[in-house]
Amino acid sequence: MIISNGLKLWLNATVSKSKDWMNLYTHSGDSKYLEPLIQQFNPILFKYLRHQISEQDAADICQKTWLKIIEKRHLYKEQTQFKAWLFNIARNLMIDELRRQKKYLDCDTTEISITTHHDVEDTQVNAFRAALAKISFEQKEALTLQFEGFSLEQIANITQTEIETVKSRLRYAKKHLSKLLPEEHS
Amino acid sequence: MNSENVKPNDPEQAKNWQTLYQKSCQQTSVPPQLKQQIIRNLQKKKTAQKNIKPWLALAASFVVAVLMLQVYQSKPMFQQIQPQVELIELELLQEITETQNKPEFIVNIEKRLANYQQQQIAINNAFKNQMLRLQSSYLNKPDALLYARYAVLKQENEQLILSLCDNKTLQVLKSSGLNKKAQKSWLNRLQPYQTVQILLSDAGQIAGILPSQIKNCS
Repeated sequence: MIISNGLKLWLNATVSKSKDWMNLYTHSGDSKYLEPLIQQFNPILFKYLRHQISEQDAADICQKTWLKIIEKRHLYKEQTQFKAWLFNIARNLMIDELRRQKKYLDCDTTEISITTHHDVEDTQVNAFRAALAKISFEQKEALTLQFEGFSLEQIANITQTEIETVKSRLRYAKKHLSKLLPEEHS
Repeated sequence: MNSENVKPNDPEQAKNWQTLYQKSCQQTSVPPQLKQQIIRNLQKKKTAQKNIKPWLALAASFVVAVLMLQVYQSKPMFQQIQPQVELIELELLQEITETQNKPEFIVNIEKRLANYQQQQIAINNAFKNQMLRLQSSYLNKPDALLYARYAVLKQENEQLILSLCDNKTLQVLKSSGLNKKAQKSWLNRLQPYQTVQILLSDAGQIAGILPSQIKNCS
């Protein structure tokens, strides 16, 4: 009894240490392992998406993304960073949605981003968001992914482009952002 | 801010922007019901998947059954063997006597079957006779490449002698031209003084000897 309890504690400690709930979910198919992932990553994903699309669309994409994760769980590789995989799926769904709405690579997305941020009081942040909303979708996407902490390689994987393209997009994004943001805000 | 002052790779500026982005994220509120909605959707999907499994299995087995039926109907596994009349061994029919224990319909079927078999034997015999008549008339035509003559078979001093029945006159044909092996073979199959039909080629050589339908030369 003592041994089995000790073993359970050791197993729990190992699992919580690795935090790889996705691996557990992939092998067991038990959705209880998804809940900690939703708890941890859904707010990050939603906030990232809110910088690209409207609140309603961001919420829809979040829901679709988690459903997609169930469907594609067999494709998840243990060595892959879960966050990068999640963002990759979400990004594809977002592009599909924008294409459906005929807003992909269109300036209309900027308007959505500006007009829906009512909750922000901080003028500096507001100005930053307004500037971010004015740069092109691809540049904004690369820049926000970098802000999320992804490496150039991971951004290239998520956006399905070459690393050099990512570098170029980031350079232009920063250049445009510098132009758009007043000195005191940046 | 002038374009000349733009420093896209300024690390401090980049850090500043990242801080602004993080602040922006912090100030962005996540709909409180979103997490619950997602979990509900996941559970719904899981339930739907569970429910769909038996139906899928049932549908799959039905499709397999339909396909197998179609395959069976289009290409029968065992081809029906068509009986060939010439291969049927004709046997004497036995009278059906034990009818007491059999149901009436089986007795009727057996009677009809016996009747059909009798008819078949009669037809087969008639066919055989017709074939022999046609063969005979063909072989007796003078212009046939292979023609036949009736003869009586005799043996003298281990020699095969054939007396031809031609215009009621007997002609003796000594088969000295035939080798002994062939003679022996024919003698084994034919009885001495048996009326036979000799098959001759257009050059007058004996091609074969058949038992004759007629009893004697007269």
